[in-house]
Amino acid sequence: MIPTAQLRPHRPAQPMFYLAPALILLAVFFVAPILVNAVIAFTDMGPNLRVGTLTVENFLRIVQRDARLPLVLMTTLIYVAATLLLFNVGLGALLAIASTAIPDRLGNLFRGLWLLPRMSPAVLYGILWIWIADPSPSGLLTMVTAPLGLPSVNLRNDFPLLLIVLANGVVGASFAMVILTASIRAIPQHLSHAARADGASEWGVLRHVVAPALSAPIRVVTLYQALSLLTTYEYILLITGGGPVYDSTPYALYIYRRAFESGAYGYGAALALGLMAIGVALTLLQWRVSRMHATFAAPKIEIL
Amino acid sequence: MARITLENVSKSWGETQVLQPMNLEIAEGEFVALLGPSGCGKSTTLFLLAGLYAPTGGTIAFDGHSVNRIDTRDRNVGIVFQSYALYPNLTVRQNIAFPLRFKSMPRDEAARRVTEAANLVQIGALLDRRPAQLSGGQQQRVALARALVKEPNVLLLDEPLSNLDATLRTAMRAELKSLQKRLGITTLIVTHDQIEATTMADRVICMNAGAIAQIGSPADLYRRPNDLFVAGFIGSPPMNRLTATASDRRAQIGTTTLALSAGHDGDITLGIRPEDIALVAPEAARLVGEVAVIEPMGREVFYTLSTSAGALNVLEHGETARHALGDRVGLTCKPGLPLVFDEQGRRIADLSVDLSPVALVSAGQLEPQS
Amino acid sequence: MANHALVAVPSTDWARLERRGLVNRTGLLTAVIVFLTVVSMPLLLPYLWLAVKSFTTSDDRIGHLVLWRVGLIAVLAYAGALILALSTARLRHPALLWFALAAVVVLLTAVFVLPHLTLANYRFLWHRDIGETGTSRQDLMPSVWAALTSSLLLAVAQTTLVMLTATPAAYALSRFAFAGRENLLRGLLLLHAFPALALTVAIFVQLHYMGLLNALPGVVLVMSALELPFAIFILKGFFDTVPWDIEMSALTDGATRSQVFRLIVLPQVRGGLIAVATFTFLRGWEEYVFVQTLLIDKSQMTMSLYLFYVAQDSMGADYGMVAAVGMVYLLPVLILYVFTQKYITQMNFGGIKG
Repeated sequence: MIPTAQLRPHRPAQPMFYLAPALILLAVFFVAPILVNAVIAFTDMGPNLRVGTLTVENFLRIVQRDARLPLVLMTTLIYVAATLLLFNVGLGALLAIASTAIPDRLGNLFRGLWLLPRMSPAVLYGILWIWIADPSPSGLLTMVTAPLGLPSVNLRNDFPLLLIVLANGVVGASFAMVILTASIRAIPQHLSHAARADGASEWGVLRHVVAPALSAPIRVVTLYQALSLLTTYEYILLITGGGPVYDSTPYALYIYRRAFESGAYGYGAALALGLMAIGVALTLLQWRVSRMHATFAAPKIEIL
Repeated sequence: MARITLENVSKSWGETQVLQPMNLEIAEGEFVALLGPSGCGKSTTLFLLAGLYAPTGGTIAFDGHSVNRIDTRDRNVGIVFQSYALYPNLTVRQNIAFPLRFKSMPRDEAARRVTEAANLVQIGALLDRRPAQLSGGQQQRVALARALVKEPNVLLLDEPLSNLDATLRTAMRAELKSLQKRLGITTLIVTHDQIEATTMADRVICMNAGAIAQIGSPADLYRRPNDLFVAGFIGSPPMNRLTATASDRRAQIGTTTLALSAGHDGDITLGIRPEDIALVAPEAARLVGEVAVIEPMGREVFYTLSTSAGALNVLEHGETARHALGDRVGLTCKPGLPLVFDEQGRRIADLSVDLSPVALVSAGQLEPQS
Repeated sequence: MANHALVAVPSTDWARLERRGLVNRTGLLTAVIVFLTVVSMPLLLPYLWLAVKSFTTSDDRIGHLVLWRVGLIAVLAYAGALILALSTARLRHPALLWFALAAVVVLLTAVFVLPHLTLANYRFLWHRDIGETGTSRQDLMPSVWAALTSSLLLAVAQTTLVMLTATPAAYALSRFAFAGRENLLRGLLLLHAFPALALTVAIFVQLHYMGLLNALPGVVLVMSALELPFAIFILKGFFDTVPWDIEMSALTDGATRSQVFRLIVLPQVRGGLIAVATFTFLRGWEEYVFVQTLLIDKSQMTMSLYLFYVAQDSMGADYGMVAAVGMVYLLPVLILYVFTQKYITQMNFGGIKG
């Protein structure tokens, strides 16, 4: 019989103590609102925040009687697809590739510059775009086009969708830029050395060494940013307010406007349920695309 | 096939100079090894030849033409990297064919060349696999085939064998050597392993701290090292060093006085290879020591002896130790083999120290003890 | 291969290859720098315009004049800096030339720009009467200092709350083996991707019934909870990179798991903690939607609302002052950004990596 040496009582670490504060906060202010939303969606809650009757009226309205919804869905599709392809992935990848092809300090300067819109407070960023789009002589765009003899355009009125694509894209490009820069940096240097020795030009190195290494992160970035574009509306609310009328109102903003402009809280909650379903579906798809083994890898120390 | 000339080639990264101005001439078809400890600038030299780094000063020339301003892709060099650098997204066949994409070459000609190169390094059966499905040795062969397929003027090997296990390394050494002789490509191998360098190369360039320490045949480096660095780097186990003071034709080592083959004054260092020392009876030798450590190594026994001049290593043939711990033994060496270095660590040519056996009255005592 | 030596090698045209190499190296570098400069200029111009507007009178002609002059000086400075940076190796006194460039830029600015500038737009910093109506309109707008304090309070409180709750949670998820760990991770990942902004309606209603509507603590709690999954996953990513050997060695040395966490692991993820704290702070500092929806009382107005209302002034917005308020709002962000940029760019967003 081997005596167990017990110098001092060992109190095992309780994972719950570490997790509890975060979980409580999440339960009360994140999970509970989800449930509240699900309940409100089945009520006729209006501006007075009173629950009258439980009803499926909201859902019937979505599928049968909301005349604005087809336009809103179309706007959403155009807005998300255009921003995603042109900026959040396209420009982001270009910036990552270009800024890693020049001396590092200059590259850092440009990357830092492109993170500036993301860092800027949303309201300020919105005002800057309003000033750019301002059709009066003091508008930035007019200042540039007027000397060229071009007529001034009112972007907010005439091309609101283009404006929100540009405004969101300029912020969005930095995400792919940061992620893909890290991916490019992670490519072992000897691979590009080998390609050059094999006779590849800079273009050949880009095509045969860099591009293959970027395909996986680009897929992940695409899904992640699609979700992000689908669900955020802050800049649009600040720049065009979704207008004129509903011309630049994608689905996420439509929820907000229905609830807070028209006071139709019940209807807004019902619309929100739809967005949540899309969000969950896209997340599940993302799990399939990206390798999550590392995230779920088991801890290597079993004692607590 | 190209003749390579380096004229005052140097390299700095910002303020730090990693390569002192260097002059070197490599003949057509020669197999040269760049040998040195890590950080001595040997890989930098290789990358300079490939054009992956630009020299800070000096001229690199292939066949007498400066290639300083020629891009890597136009230099027609083949490189095998330490990590092999196979493109993970391409199959073995595509990897080997990769350099041919950039030459306008008919498809069937390219395919023929790929098969040829693959057969040359005996991986013809693996062409449709991906690099991740290959063993280290197979990846190494693919890298070699890829370097050879475009028939390069110069073949550069950057520590190509260091990621292989010991048996495979021995086999690949012989194979690389015979392949190089057969193809006759000017070849430069970078290695920190002196065995690799001396077994494969016609000429070894020993580098230290960004400068060439010595260029010579493997035998030159072993028997006639320029300085203590080369003497210590070549040979395993490393050469014994004994500090001594010389005055006229005598050297004082600890409590022992030995005769010098020529006159010299000042502090000197004696270099004696462990495998050159013969152990005899104490009365028969000019230098005597006591057995401190015995390490049987299979075919050889490795002794550490303590002498009045310091610790000395001796390698003796034989499967079992002929001496016991604490035994007093004499150390002798054939005339001319011990090397003498001056205060700056440079070898003094034609100077040696006499460690030959003492002529005894009874010759029988010269026999090794049993 | 075997007939390698017999293949007649065509003589190499070294001069042509040299030209090709030169065009390749300098041409590519130039093209890339030109591309980046051209796409980045429209990005920088609005910020330049903001700064110029904040320092000039509302007279548009002066504004334009200063903008063009500042723009030209900036282009000059950029080109000069670029040439100097790329040829540093060939110059004998680079420091002297840098100094000369700086002197030229300062001189040009002093001569051509400085005389047209004014600080009048920043009067809101010391006057409550920003509309110059004769009344202070205190009932409509709080002072800018009150707004700055509210924003700072909100951002600091949110950062503290998030860091204090997310750090131990991320460590437990990264390092502790316990039942349900994987499901918890999945749940958190789902929340991480959840369209939080779609919850605005529900949160508004819930806070109303909890009595937290129209109070700063309510906004802080909501925004902290919404930021948590993001913070936990970034931090978990950083904890994942700490080598297990270190932790095992500390345990063998007699430390408990919680001591290892505090003494060994936390210092190693310092960069990650700084990055997440910075991001959380910025999110709180800039928040608009939730502040707008959940804070109705003007006395608790944050900077985002202050700027919004200054810009929306029904009396006709004073663009100079809007720009000045914007500058005051942006400045802390820029300062923070300069100090934390290297940490921010190291982040792997939510376990997303190549």
